Amino acid sequence: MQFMQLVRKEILAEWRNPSQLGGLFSFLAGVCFLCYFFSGDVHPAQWNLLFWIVYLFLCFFASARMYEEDNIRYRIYTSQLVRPLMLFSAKLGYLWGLLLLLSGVLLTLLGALLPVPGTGGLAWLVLLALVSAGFACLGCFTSLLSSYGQSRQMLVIVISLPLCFPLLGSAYAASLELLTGGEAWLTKLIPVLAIDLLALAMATILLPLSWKA
Amino acid sequence: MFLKKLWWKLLGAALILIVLNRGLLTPLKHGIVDLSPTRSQAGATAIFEVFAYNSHYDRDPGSVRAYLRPHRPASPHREGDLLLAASTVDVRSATHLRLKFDLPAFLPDPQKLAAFTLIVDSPGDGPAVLPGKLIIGQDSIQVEEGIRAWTSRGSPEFSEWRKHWFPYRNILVETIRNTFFHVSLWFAMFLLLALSVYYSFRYLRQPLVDFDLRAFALVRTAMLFGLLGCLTGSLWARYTWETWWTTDIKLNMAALTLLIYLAYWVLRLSIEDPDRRRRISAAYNAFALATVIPLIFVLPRLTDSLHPGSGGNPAIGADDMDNALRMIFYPSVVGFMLLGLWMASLLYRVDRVEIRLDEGENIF
Amino acid sequence: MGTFLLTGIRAMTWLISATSPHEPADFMRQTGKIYVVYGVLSLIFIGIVTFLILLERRISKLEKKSDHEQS
Repeated sequence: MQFMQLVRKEILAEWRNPSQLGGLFSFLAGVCFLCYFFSGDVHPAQWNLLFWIVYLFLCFFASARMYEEDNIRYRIYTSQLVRPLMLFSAKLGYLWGLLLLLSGVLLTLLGALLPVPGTGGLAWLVLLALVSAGFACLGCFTSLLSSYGQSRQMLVIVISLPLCFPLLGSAYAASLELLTGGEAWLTKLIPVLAIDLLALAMATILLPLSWKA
Repeated sequence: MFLKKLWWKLLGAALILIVLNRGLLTPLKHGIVDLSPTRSQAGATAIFEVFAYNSHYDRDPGSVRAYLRPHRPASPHREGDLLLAASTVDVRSATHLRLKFDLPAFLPDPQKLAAFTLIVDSPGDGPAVLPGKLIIGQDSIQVEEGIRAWTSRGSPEFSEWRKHWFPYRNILVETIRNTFFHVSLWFAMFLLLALSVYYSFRYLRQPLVDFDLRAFALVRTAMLFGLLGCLTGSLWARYTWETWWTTDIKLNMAALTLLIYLAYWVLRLSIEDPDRRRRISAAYNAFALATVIPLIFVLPRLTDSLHPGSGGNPAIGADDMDNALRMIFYPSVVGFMLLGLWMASLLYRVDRVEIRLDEGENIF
Repeated sequence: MGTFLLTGIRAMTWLISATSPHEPADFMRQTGKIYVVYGVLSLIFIGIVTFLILLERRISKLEKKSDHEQS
């Protein structure tokens, strides 16, 4: 199908230019080592904060390049071939997978270097999947918007940072519940899910309208 | 055209004038600031110094009455009956009383320590209450005896409550009047932002420059109101919560709203092509709504807040607002909203003229 | 007589301050913190005046521009 083809195209483009992906992973490894190097014993709350801050930076770096290669002429060309919503959802799906992969590696690395109880397991997978979906949506949309402006990389961070707060806050609360062994982590996932759905719905509504520019 | 009509601007100004007049001139009900000592023993003859705010006890010293009542009644159905009148009330000054209570040997409470509420009733000021500040201890516990000793002989009659006066709150005192100015600013800001999102949606559906200009003017006015709300709230917090800024969720939520619209402004500045700028910023404005909604309605419910309405209602709940406050608060919200709309309409009209002069033709 | 009055006033102020130890020395906290309300109102007024100044600057810019086009 067209969706799968577009996702494959994204993966291929990434594969042919591996420096960016390599940069992301080396950044990840470096930051994890930095955390290990400079912090002794960490509380679950501190660990949680470290995890989400590194995750946030990974998100910015990963999403800022989503619409990088398209110039306007290329965009007009592609919009005649595929519907913009389809292209957007392919990019979203790819970014979601990438963020899930990155966050999984981050979880394993940070959990190994700074061991705290309660990392890993199916619960974390569900949490990371939901949070990554929300961040992928935010990232793709803000990346699309800022691709029309100057100094894109900076602009993505400026306009997506305030939008990230509610999602990051509810993700933080849910994962802290997991780390401290609380039972209520499923109910704390509800805000994450709600924000995901809202962001997806708004992106679907607004994308065809903003594409015309 | 609605924008150029005068009546609603005058209405807004009149409402604000009424709010300034009523909100600043209505007196506070009298309140008990402090009492000392705050500990006493059952069976003793206790003497308390009571300091009040905004009271006129010296006008009619003979008719000032004081009572003690258990803070938490021993059994719910007896709440009204348990009341101990002061044996002597010595009016030292308009705001200072010296009370003598002959405390019975037993308390109507199954605990060694129990909290009590002090009620002072003065015909010129109405009744005032200091809930649960006084702790009375007892050595041996006999609840039935205590209930018998504390049951009042004949129910006391309290003087008339000043209905339209503002309530006395211990830390807030006169700053309770800030409700009409600080809180209304936030309400007006949210209305302006909601309107701007409405115009952004209209622009996305039908790209007329007019809609975008309206949305941008509304956003700028809302940001001014938000900034003023932050500053005034900070000043208020300095003298009530003793800090300029707290980690309170509502404060940070408000700061975040400002941050989002700052980002909106940056986005507008960074896109050169005017048509594209309008479309992209409209899309961002509408998208921001999707994340601001959980910010306002979901997160504050989950966390404790110093602000009223935490852990439940995002706005002001029924318990937080006195009817006397509400009578002035609602007009002030409407007044500030109309003032904001007026300011936004001025900005919009200046923008419009500027574009007309730039383009040299009528593009509307 | 004058000194008597002065001591009288001093004694009275001492009495008032003695009978109400809850009146704080801090200016902003005097008379039930009413000056905080005054501060809030001044801030709002300053905000509105700032708005007017900015608006006026833009209007004068427009005036200059339209004068330029007229001539």
